[in-house]
Amino acid sequence: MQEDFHYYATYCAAFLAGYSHEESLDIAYSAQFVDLCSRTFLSTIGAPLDAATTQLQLELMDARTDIIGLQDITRIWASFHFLPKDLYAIKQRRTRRYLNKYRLICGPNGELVRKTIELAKDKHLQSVGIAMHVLADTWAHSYFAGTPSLVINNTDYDFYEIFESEDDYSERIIKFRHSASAPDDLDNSIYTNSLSQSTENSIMNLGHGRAGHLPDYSFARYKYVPAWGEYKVIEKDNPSDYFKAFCQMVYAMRFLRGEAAEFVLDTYAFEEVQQHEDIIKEIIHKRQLNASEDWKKFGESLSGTEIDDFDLGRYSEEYKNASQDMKDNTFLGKFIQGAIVHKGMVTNEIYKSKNILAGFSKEIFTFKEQE
Amino acid sequence: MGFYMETKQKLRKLKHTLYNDGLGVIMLGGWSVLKLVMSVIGGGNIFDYANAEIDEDNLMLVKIFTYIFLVLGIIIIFFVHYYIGSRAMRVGKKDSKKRFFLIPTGFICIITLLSSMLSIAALKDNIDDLDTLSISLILDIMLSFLLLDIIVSTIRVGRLQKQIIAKEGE
Amino acid sequence: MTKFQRIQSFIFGIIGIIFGFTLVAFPEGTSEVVLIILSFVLTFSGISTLVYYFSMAQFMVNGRYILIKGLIILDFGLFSGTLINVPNIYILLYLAILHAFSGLVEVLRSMESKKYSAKNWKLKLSHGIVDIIIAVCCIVFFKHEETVGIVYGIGLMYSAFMRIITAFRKTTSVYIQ
Repeated sequence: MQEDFHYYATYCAAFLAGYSHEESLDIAYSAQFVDLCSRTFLSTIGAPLDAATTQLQLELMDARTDIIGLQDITRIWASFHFLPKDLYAIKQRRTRRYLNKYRLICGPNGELVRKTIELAKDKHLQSVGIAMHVLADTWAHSYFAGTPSLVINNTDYDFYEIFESEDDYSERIIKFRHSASAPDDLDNSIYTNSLSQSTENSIMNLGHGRAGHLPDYSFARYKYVPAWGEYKVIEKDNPSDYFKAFCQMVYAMRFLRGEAAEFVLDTYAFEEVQQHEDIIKEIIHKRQLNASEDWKKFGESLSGTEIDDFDLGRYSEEYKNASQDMKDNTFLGKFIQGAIVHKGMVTNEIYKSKNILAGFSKEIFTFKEQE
Repeated sequence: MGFYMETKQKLRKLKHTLYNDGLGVIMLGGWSVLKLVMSVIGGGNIFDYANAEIDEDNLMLVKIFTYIFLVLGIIIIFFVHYYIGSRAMRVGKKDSKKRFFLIPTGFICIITLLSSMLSIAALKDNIDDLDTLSISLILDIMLSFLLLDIIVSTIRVGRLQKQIIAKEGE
Repeated sequence: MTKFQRIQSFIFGIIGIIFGFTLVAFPEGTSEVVLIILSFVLTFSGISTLVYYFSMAQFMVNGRYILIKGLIILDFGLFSGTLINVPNIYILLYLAILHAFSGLVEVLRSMESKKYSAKNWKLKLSHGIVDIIIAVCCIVFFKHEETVGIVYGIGLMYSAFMRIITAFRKTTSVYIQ
């Protein structure tokens, strides 16, 4: 997902869940910040680099792809952008090496989503924002894994965009190109994706690179043959998924505010969202590269207050100027704590499933298992 | 999964396989040509390919004709592989209905299989070159397999497409 | 980098420098050395690709392509070991193309790094320029018998030197608890 959903839509969901305007802004800022908190940024403010929640293209270009480098990449991407759905998935007649990657495939309503939300309970708003980013991405980035893998993340020429209305259905073949500067051409279904590389651990095979930005467009409906799917076609309905993501965020934040007793998977705040359903679906279905304007307008109509545009450097000075023992109390300090805790949890869960792709981990706290 | 969905999945697999088999035939054809060129440049005597009596008078003539035939041979080898491979890829990706290419496919498959059998026999007399000859043999067998798979898959694609059309008509 | 990776980088760097120096000092017979190294690298790469196919790619859509690729690379590797009389010009051409391509990629990456205000763009640029100079030398000095040996030896020493520098650069250790 991109800024329109992670920042503005998360603001709207937070407000509908009962947070105030200022609280919703903090949550939304943190949710969007997950996509920008790179080692490059952290080094400019003197923050611990292991709090990184993303890697810039430049960092990825220089990243090593030996086992240590792969673990570093997987820790970040699987924790924050491609939360694995089922770490114990079974697939017959597969080698251990294959299964380790297969089990990192992202999807909504996995056990790790529940753990992510529960981890944010009674924590700072920044942790709520991080959890919302992770939850939302499980819907958008389904069927891809947060580790470089040709055998999981590759796609091929069999990729179609679906156009469906009440009385019409059509498909159009998608043409992919490798031009980072040219914007996606929605009228002709021409999208940019990563270069085809037949090496297993190439950075080009990380996440949904081979599908370009399609998973991040709320309006997109498409079908393709994933590399792991034994020639089955996956039909991805982003409008439906994004709406569910929104409603699940509202439900999750109501739980985090204490208005629901527990967080149950596959549960959505449809009733709370009902009166705004038409507007939300209109925004989601609108065919545009960036829906920020529309989400912002909707959010401002909800709260009656202007929503500040996202500014990456808003809290940098506060963090830089704080003394060493006060840094944890700053906005970014709280975000950093939340990010490290979340990354630790996901890495530990992956390690406990006997999968070393995210590195080694030592458990120093346990969760209460759901009865 | 219903019969219709299963059939569509099988068809999809066959078409993808055809596309890859076609690509494989082109790659193997290209590699054969490159290997022949590298052999001529770095491996041995051009006149080994001449299979003619050479003396001082006809040295230049033999050399010219050898080169001409070598170049022609290279072009034909690559063209045939490219033709078969690209046709198979078209059936796989673009649903082409042309089937004439199956004839040269069968022909080349038989030749490659016969050549493989001769290579197996030659292995016994060339133990020193066991590694290179073995891998070349494996490549020949791979090519035969791809060519055979192209024939079988193309026929199966046709049959499955008819089944799907019949199912959609019901 | 872990301590083990640093030690490994340092040792390989030293070996590379010794080997490169030997080639520069005694350039006769470098062509055969280059061919042997190429043959070994390709054979190993072919085998790795085949292992990858049988452990992973056979389960992937369009995985057969990896099998064919592996077989071709393996054949290329074993075959290049049998070539006995490759004229120097072809080896120089191969080295020139390799270094020119590698140099161009490094220069483009340094431009990209500079755009993002990364600190190491000058190092990348110098690396790219050195590679391009080596490529140009291959072409300019192709008539000299020892060119192959000297060019390859210098290239090897430079790569080895960069490896040693990288081994001593600070990186952050990551602990997850």
